[in-house]
Order: sequence, then C-alpha cells, then structure tokens
Amino acid sequence: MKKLFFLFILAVPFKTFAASCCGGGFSVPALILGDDKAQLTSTYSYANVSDDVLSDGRWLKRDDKNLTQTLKLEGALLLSESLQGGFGLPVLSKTAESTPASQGIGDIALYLGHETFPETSYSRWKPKGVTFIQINLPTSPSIYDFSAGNSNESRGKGFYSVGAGVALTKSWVTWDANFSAEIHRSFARAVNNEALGGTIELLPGWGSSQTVGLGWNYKDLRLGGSVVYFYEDAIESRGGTSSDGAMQRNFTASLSASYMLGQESALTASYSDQALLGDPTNSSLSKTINVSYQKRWPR
Amino acid sequence: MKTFAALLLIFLSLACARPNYISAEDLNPQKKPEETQNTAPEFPILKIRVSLKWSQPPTSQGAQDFILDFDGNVAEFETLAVLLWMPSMGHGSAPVKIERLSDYQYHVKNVYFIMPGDWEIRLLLKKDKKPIDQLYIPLMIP
Repeated sequence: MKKLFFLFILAVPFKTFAASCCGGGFSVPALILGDDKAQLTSTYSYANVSDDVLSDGRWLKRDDKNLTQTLKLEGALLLSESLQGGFGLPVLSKTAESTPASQGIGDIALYLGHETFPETSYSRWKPKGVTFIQINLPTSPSIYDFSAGNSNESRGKGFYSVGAGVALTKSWVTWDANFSAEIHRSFARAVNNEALGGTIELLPGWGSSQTVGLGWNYKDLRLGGSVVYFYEDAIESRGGTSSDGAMQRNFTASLSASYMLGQESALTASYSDQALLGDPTNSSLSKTINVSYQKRWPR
Repeated sequence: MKTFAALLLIFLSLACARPNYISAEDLNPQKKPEETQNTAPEFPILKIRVSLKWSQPPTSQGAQDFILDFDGNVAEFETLAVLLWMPSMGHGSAPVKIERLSDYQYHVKNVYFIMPGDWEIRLLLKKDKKPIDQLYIPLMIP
C-alpha cells in the first residue's frame, strides 16, 4: 500500500512554471504512475507575481497585485496494458491592480504515455518510469492576440507545442525520489495585429524542463520537495516590427505535503517559489500555493 | 538516503538566488515629473530630432500619455506610427491613439505598458504609406 501511495502522489509535483504572460507554461502531464486504469486530478493554484527579471539578469519588484487563480483538471486513462492517454484543461482567473480582471480557459494539453520502464523485479536502484509525448493547443488568447490594453486577457502561450519526456520514480522504505525531463518545440505563427505594427512572424524555438524531487513518508503522509529548471528559447519576431528576443530561464522550488485518503485518492498542498533559486532570466517570478485532489480507479 | 538528502539541502542552500534589483538611479529618469528624455534622439535617415515628454512618470499600471515634439524638416514625412514593443519577450501592447496637435507636435494616448521591464517606443515615419525612417527609444518601466 505504501508503495502505491508513493507512486500515485508523485504525479502531483511534476509541474513546471514559466512566465505567465509570454510563451512559457509547458508542464509535465499528470501521468498514471501506479497500477491504475484511470485517474483524475483537480488542482487549484493561487499565484502571485512577485518579481520580474530582465534579460540582463536585473530584477524589478512587482507590486501590482498580479494574481492568477487556476483550476486545472487533468485526466488519464489506460488505453492498453502499457499505453495511456490524457488531457489537461486549465481555467484561469487573472487580476491585477489598474487592469480589468479576465477569466476563461487556458491552453489545453493532450498526451500519450507509455510505461517504458516497468518495475518487473526488485531492484534497489532501478526506477520505474513512463515516457510521454504531449501537444499543447493554443486554445486561449495570448500576449500576441489581445487588442485592449489588458494583459490579463493573455491566458495562453500562443503557439502550438509538441513535447516529449520521461518521468521516473523510485521508492525506498520511507524515502522516495523522482525525476522528470521534457523537451518541447513551439511552432512559428504569423500574427496580423495593429498593435504589432501589421503582420509579423513569430519564431519560437525549443524549450525544456527538468524536475528533481525527494519525499519522506510516514504512514499516509508524504512530505516532499522538488526543484524545477525551466528553459525556453528566445522568440524572434520578423515583419512589421522585428526583434531577436531573449531566452527565458527560471527555477522553481516547491515544498509539498500529501495525505492519502483511503486507497484511491490523495490530497496535496504545496508551495512553490520562483524567486529562491538560481539565476533566472527574462521571466516573471511567482509564488504559488497549490491544492490538489487526485482520484484513482484501480485496474 | 539521509546523506543524499543532506547533500541536496547543502546544494540548494548554495544555489540560492541572488537578486540584483535595479537601483533607484536606474529608474530615476521615470521619476522626474515632466520630461523623461533630456536629449532629443534623431531619426537616422531624415535627421529629424524628437523629444518625448510624459504627462506623468510611466509605469506598468494603467494608461499613460506623452507628447512628441519634432525638430527638423517635418515635411519629409506624412504620417507617424507609434508601436510599444518589448524586445526581450517579443511582444507589443495595445494600439496607441495618436492626435496630431501641429506639424511639429503629436499627443500619444492610450499607452499601456502591460508589464514592468525593458520596453521600446518605436517611432515610424511614413510617406505614401511606406516606412521611410524609424527610431527606437528604449526605456525602463517599473
């Protein structure tokens, strides 16, 4: 039971964060990592942008009460013995001082996962893991689409993205560890917008993220911590107006507490901070509180 | 495992962020009540100078406006376009409204800097609907 507990709740910290406005936000999906046929994860997030880091590394304090509340529903279903499919559907509410609030859906993500590294026999070190491919659909307005003077209307990345990655977990008696890595590619698009000086072509590039996490378990309680590194290539623009852009980089430190509610569900609360670690660049840094509930259906 | 956790904690403590906040001096130009551009930059081709005066120090909150004063042979262009651009992130902002006060003076309104950071005010001079010269004025928005 303890082993299952480890594997189920490890799915929750596999999140990556990026600048809320400008092309970040690719996240590792909530994969089925245990012996389940389906799972549903609902996460409420309350994020406050505390700082902006410029492309030259200098920091600016943000004091406009820039808040994003997100309710994200993630579902996963086994399609065969080792193949799974899933989705992520976020609904966002954004507010900031002197800016009208905005609500609506964010970018929808679809994925396929494969249990590439099953745990077929005991090993002290060999992890079990799932590889996955994911597509992010620009189903919500982005910073390139809005026409009013309202950044809150920007709820999405603005690009189609395809990514692939791996999520590995390993548990010992009271400890567990997890690692995930993904790489993604966003695709160019043309935008015709008066605010952009006419038609321009936006040229995003590659991005990646890596997560390392550790957990300590006592009965039905798990206390965990994780660090996420996020990188996104510069977004070039050519046409009506041109610029080379600058790469984005940030680090997210998280602490979490999870509690197993019976055999088939878990409740997790976590705190994430992007202003604690590393040398972020060209990013808006947030402090986020997450509360997540996960329901699973065993095979 | 405990050793690993201890090593991880040491690593994290060494990896702490060291924020390098922009000094008050760097933000000083925006704190001056009236004029934020003491020198009048020049369009490279037409050699027309332009000075920019804010009605209030620009910030990332709410609508701003400024006056552009041109000095030179303004008959060489017909229309002015103004674009707000954040080059590091590759995005702009909402369209501004431009009111022509005279041949030499324009009032630019509905200026929204939608987030703090490095912005550019991109001025484009057009003739026969074609761009003939442009000037980028960089500024830091708190």
